[in-house]
Amino acid sequence: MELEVIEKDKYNLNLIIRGISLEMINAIRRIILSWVPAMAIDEVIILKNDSPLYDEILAHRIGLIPLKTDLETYRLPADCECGGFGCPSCQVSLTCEVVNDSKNNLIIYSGDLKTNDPNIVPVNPNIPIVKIGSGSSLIFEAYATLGRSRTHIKWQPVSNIFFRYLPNITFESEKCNNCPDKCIVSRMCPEKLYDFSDEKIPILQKDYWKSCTLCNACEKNCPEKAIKVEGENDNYLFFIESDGVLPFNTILKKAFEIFYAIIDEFIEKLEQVEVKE
Amino acid sequence: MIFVIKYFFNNKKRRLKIIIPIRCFSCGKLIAHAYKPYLEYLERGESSEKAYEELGIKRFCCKRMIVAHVDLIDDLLKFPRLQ
Repeated sequence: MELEVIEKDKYNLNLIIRGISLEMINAIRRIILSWVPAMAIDEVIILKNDSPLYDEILAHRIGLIPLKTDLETYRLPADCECGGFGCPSCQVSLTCEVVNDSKNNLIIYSGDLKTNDPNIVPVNPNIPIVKIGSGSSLIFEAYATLGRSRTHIKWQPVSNIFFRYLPNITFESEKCNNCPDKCIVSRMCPEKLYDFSDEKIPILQKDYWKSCTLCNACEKNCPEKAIKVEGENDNYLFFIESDGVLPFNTILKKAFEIFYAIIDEFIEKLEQVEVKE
Repeated sequence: MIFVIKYFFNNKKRRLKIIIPIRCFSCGKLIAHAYKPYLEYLERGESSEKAYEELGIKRFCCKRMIVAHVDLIDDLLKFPRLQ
């Protein structure tokens, strides 16, 4: 198997993976999407709410705020020694106490949440929670726990994760000499991968495989049948987009840990079963 | 004419999005923090296309969250709560 990083920044990781089967890469994708735990607010106690939003809507908005996660210190409530009742090793408390003394309206941002653990903070301090009028106040207490996105979307560590076949376009530009039309393909391609500025022969971009979506618009519409689009078998482009909840290294490491744990559990259970011959 | 006004009014009442949603409804990407900078970009006279590029919003499901949003919380703040 070969791995190559095309693009990496704070929120995006694009990879080429060569020599992996479709089932395997999809298993990795699904484990990252629904098994890797992340931190999110699960319980909100609202003590005072003068805002125009109802308590339920406010609690829902607070729950959806992504929090930076520390997987080494915290455990899932189901695996914790306390049995899910809430102890310092599976729960973080966040408080918010805002009183608007000014004459203007005040927006309460996620930066106003105060945590008892400095590692567990909202990924962005500029997420608006609610707006309150002058003289009103908002006081609540919230508890964040680890969870899996099989239960609720707020525990999802990535915002988007997908893969596609590595595109391979064979383009025979000699056939373009016979073509009387102005190249329709250069106008049809949604990613504008064909350069037709010299108005004679279209030129395919060198790094077309980065953005080609295998839509086959060029293959279908070329009057001379000069283009053939294929997806390479067992070679994939893998895209991960994160909200900054977990770093990419941790997401991938944890995904493989979970994958091995599931397989081990399966083998263990299989050995216990008596098979009649 | 009266009918038209009534229809428009009812239509406006129905889309009760009070404050910008935290995440995109379709894909779950965080978008609430981008709404204020987006409006600032437009005030400066730049195109929304450039604003989306600068704010890192790529997909059209996230774009419609911002472009179709009507902030009604300022109107609601004029009325005291019934408590």
